[in-house]
Amino acid sequence: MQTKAKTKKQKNHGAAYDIWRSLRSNKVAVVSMVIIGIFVLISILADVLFDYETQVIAQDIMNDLQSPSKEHWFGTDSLGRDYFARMLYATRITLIISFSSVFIATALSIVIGGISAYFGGIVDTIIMRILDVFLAVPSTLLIICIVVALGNETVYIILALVVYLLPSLVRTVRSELMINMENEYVEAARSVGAGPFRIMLIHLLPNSFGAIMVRCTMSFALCILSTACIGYLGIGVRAPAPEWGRMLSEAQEYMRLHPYLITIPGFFIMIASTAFNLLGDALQDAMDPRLRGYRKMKKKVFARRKK
Amino acid sequence: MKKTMLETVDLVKYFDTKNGIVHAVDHVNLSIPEGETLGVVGESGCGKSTLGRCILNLIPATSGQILFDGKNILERGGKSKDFRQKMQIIFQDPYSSLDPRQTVFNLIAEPLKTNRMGTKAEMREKVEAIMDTVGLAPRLATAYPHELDGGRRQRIGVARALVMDPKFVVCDEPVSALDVSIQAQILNLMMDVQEERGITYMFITHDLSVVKHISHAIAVMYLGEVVELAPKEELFAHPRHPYTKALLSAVPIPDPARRTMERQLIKGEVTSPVDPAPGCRFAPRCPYATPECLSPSLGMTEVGPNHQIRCCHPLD
Amino acid sequence: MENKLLELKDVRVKYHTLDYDVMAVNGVSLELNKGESLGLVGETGAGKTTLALSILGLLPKGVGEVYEGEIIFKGEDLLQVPEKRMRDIRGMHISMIFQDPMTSLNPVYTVGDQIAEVLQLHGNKHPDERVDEILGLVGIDPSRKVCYPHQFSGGMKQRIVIAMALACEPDLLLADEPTTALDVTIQAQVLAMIDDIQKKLGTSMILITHDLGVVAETCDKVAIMYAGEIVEYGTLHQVFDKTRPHHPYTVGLFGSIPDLSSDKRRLEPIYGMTPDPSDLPEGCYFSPRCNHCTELCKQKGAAIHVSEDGHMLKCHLFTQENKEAAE
Repeated sequence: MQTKAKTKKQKNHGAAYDIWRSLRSNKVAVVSMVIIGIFVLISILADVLFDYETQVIAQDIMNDLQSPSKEHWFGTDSLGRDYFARMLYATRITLIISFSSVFIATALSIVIGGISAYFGGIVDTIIMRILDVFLAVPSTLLIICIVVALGNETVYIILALVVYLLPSLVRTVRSELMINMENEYVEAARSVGAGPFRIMLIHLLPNSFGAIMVRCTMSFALCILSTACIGYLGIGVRAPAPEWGRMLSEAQEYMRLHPYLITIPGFFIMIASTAFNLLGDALQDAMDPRLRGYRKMKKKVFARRKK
Repeated sequence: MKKTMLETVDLVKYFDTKNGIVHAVDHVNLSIPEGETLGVVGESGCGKSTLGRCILNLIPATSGQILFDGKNILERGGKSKDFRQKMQIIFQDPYSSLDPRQTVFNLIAEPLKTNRMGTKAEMREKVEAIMDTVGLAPRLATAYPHELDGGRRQRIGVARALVMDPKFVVCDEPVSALDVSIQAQILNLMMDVQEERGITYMFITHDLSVVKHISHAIAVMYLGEVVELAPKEELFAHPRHPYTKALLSAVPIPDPARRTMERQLIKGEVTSPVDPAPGCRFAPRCPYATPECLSPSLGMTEVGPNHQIRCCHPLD
Repeated sequence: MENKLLELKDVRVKYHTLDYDVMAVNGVSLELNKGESLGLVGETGAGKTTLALSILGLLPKGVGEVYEGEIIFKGEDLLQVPEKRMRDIRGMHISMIFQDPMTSLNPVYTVGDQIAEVLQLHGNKHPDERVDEILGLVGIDPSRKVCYPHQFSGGMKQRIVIAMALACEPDLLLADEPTTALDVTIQAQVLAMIDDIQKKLGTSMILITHDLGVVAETCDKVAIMYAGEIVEYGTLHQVFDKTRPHHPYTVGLFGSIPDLSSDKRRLEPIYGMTPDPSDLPEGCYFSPRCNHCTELCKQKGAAIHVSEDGHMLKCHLFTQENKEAAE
């Protein structure tokens, strides 16, 4: 009996493995992950497939507005640039901007949220009130203001997105840490003489990591949409660099004769943001052991009933 | 006469809340001889857990002294690490008191790591030795707490407390979250360890039968105050405080013959520990209460050898 | 025979999880007469609560399933009746008290309204009088019915929960660890009250608990559960009588309790731990922890042995088969 129990127990690979398994069994999550994987692949391979100087930004007015063909899979735009090459590069730019902003915002929010949660009291109040100020400004307006004031360098766009994401991320980190601080193991760690840094790094952060990851994944979708939004308004990534939002607005003029010019970037934006959102949802379900695998169980039972 | 391991002198802990001052621990005087166990019993909200945490300085006390081996640990303030190695705590809930992301080895080694005790090899040796003492198989070192049952988890809790080779351990309801058969295993383990190493325990619990089993002396707490303090046999044979008597008669005994016996149930519920009225705090529920119970000068009085109560109408 | 209120016949329940099935209840047969109270004793994971939930048809849908057996309540098999009928039975004929009084009450309604709701659901148009009456019964001043749950202490809340459960005068009360969350002095009050009401109303009760002391003070009959099986069943006096033969698990349980009235220094616990219900041992489920374990125990589970006065034991120590094997 002992050995039998052991073999079953030793299949246990910890919480991370359980989450991964639950994600794998969720079709929506798998599709989202595949889509995100393709996007990542595209942004890595963009350089290999096309030369930026000659194929992406070099204008060729003679070949403007061509329909999709063998040479130009997505046709060409009004300045005769290959639309397919531009789409791939745009993907890369969007992902780089999103990834940098989410990464920086998360790192900062862990520091700020950590300070806020651990020290509490007046420190917490000050930090939270400052963040409230940012939350009070409509998000799009906030991003536009920062980009307009500082200029539309990629760095400033990232900065604007970080400022935009920070308040909600800090709140997530803070509340998650505070929930975990209630756990007795924090007191247990203090009772054996552990200091604040050890408690934060060894105990609190690893236990809050899941919830923060969910928030991060969803922040990706927000970044993609916001980048496209300011691009569309003409204050995003500087021309001639390709960017989904800007491509959308440039294609507007030719909507009636060349609808694919507007459809393609629109489709990319939609797919990318949906994939990240759905992955976030699935991740959240996977984190909750009560929801984990629930669907599958239901199916199993129904199958048996039918018999 | 054994030497006194731990003594509290007028230990006070008040919490300031919106509704008033909560008297969680109010002028508690206790002393525990080396190698013995003091049981602290009381119902929820009587301040017994707060008392344990104050003694370990996990919560700063409002006033009073805590003498550990004759030295007042509160005076030394910042240098608390010295005595913290010698004073440990076992927590009630083996589910929430162990970090789910740490392996059993890391959990037990944590006290050694935070106090920088020895090299990696020495730590490993110590952890393995202590796992053997508490009855955890060596193969469990890489397991995570969620893979283990309550009994094994609580063994980790005991191991964590013992790995520093402490002289004094506060046990905060260490068995009340466990099933009876497992509870007995852990109690036996704790008593074996005490015999081997001469550890002094302060055993906090609401379960009278457990406390009777493990303690040498017992302190009964009610609303932040110690109302009766006596050696175990004396307390169970001749409870002198009406509250102690009521507690004892409320415990369900697994013996059907006792069912027909008329029991003395106390009425009402524990009143609020916020700004309590002067005098005896048990008076509102006490069947023997008289106006003089409310005189503010009520203190502990000696009613027998090592037997003290806080009551003006001691029972016979 | 007409007295029979509830009968369980070989009830088996399992929970489905992603990788394996958890065998929570493995063939429980029980009978309960009108007005009787049965103590269901066992440790965590013994299947006590699962059994109660199956009687009420409240197992989590799609996860828990009664896959075998019958639950006959007043001649009706509860596993076969439609959901609509089941809703009538719940509260009206069978009601349940849960362990935690804090989460069983809705914080945004007054306690009077919550008790009235139960009555209205079961067809009482003017419940006010009955609400007062039932509050009085559980020892709460009826004038406090306009208060919200947070204005009551834990013990009072549990009284209110009990009042809700008893509002329609059910025939059967399932009490799942009703006093575990309470302090001893309050527990004594609540137990005395339950005992009192049960006698007054003639309600049958199944009291689920891990505390043998509580059972000794409230129940007529006792069933000891281990790993989803009833290993010993009898009247209170039969099970608690130390001079009679008992199931080794029962003996272990009693040995594990520090006894207030004795001075033994060391306890005699049961070694090992309760088996994982998704991976039960072969043969008798208790055999890996049992001091009297024989080869036969490791191979097959024991048949039920019933003594002349109705004391049931499920152990090879008492079966004919074992005696033959020994010879």
